[in-house]
Amino acid sequence: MKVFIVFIALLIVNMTFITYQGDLNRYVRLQTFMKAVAEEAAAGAALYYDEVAYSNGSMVINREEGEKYIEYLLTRAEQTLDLKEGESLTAEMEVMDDGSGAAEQGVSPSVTVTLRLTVADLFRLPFLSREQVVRSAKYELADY
Amino acid sequence: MKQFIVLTAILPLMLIFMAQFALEQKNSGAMNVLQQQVYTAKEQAKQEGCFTPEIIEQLKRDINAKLGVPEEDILIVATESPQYRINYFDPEHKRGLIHYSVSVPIEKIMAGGNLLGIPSERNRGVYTVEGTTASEKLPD
Repeated sequence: MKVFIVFIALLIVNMTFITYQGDLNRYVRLQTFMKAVAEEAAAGAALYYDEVAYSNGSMVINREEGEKYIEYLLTRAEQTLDLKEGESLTAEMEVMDDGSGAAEQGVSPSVTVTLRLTVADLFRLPFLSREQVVRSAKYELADY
Repeated sequence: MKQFIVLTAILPLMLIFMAQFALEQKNSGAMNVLQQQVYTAKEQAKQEGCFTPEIIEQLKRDINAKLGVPEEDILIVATESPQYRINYFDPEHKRGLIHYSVSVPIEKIMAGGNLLGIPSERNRGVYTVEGTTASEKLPD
């Protein structure tokens, strides 16, 4: 009986560790993926600018086109992540350009995108819980 | 004698766990490296307007060098015709966007597959990194 109890204990420890290891690795990869999508969204959105304002010497980001691009990236990311019902991926875009006072403040125009992924618990172990992943990226037009 | 019989039954099972810890770490490390390599190549592709043959070759060489995967087993499907930066988002996704998908095989998923009755052809998988990026290349 003693041997059996020791065996069961070892089995539980091993199962716990292997589950934790798998979930943690998946979580790390998910964070890298989210970071890449956020960087892509910010860099892509910063590409679209108001040509008329630019001809007048101001850099004004075209928010409408940027939002369309981010929306497309989110759709692709949702397909890659294979989100289930109740899970969601949202983005928040923050633009700092000459239209919003970047020149007056002496800062470069930039686009910051924050992604928020809400999912069912990423960890299968009952004592660990992570239901939200948030990653942010900023793309700065330092020299335009 | 009884203890010995129990030990011979339990030991292989416990050893499989140990081997699986190491294998999981190895596979996860390989996936992380693949992610990094693909994202690096993507940044180059943004500047060039597409995945040029040079970028694809370099990516294959890097994956081969870091993961030991033969180049012929690496599957790269990417936009290879130049895309130029445009100042609007094309709703048909045909202009200004570079798509890419890079897949590498994972030779072994479960340690002790033979012992557990998992044939080697089922004990393998494919890891894919895919995405889309906006080209930054301006027309010449």
